[in-house]
Amino acid sequence: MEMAVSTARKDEPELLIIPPLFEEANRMRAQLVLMMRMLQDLGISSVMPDLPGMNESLRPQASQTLSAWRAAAASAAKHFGVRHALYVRQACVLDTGTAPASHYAPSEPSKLFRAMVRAQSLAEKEAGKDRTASQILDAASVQGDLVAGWDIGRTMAQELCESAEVTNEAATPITHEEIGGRPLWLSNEGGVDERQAQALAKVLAERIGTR
Amino acid sequence: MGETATSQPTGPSRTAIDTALRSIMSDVLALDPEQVAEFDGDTGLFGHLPELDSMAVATLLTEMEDRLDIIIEDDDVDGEMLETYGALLAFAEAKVIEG
Repeated sequence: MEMAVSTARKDEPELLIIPPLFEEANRMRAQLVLMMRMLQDLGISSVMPDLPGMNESLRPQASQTLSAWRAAAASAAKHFGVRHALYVRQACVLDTGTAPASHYAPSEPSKLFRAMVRAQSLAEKEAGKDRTASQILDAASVQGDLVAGWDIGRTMAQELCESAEVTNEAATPITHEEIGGRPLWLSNEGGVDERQAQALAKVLAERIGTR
Repeated sequence: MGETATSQPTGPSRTAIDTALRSIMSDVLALDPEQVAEFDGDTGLFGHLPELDSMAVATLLTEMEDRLDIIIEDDDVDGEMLETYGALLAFAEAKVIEG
């Protein structure tokens, strides 16, 4: 069991939120917590657990895999008995259809991983180590490696390279265009945007409905 | 009847690439579009903007690939292309033409 942010007081939460992966999880965390508070004002309680190895989790990062995260997301949906699940960005590939779901601005994990590998290469270049992105990618896929500050295991590296955009076709997408504003997951500053949080909370509240 | 003077260029125009690149910079660096609109060819990027660390550069390049429909190779990435906004724009234009 992992730590979770929750706005559910007594009852079971109605919505499960699975945050984006790696760097984007950090960039989006404050925004998602703000959105959870807005949902609470609309009468909908929600819970956002840490994926194993991420954030406050004590599990070793290097031994995580996308498959294990899929199982963790499904077991969280069952454990909390939620009516709906929101998968954000790369997390959309973790949806196995355990609960009716919305996919917010889905993005392929391979794209984020490519950026992480590049960042690692640039940082090494500055430190005079000079491995190309392809060399780092190969090393990570063979034996695992530290990539942009994340301890990526061999299986995870392979899964990240191959990952497709969406696994559960039954989920309803929420596009970024629908919400508007600056894509907060792109900047290191992250930050919050009340208008975006409000818009996302409204879409979700309409989908979930009140009890 | 003479030959047609010009043929329609294919792919995005210079202005379109410039607009797309400024929009990416604004998103990745969390800068106001007004601030980014003031960038000129000599505006310093890597090493000049504190927001532009290695992860931000990596995100910038990946977004450029996505939105400009180009592929950036390992060998393309050097200090020179990231030195000024003008250099980055010239790089993007060359890549788009290269197709």
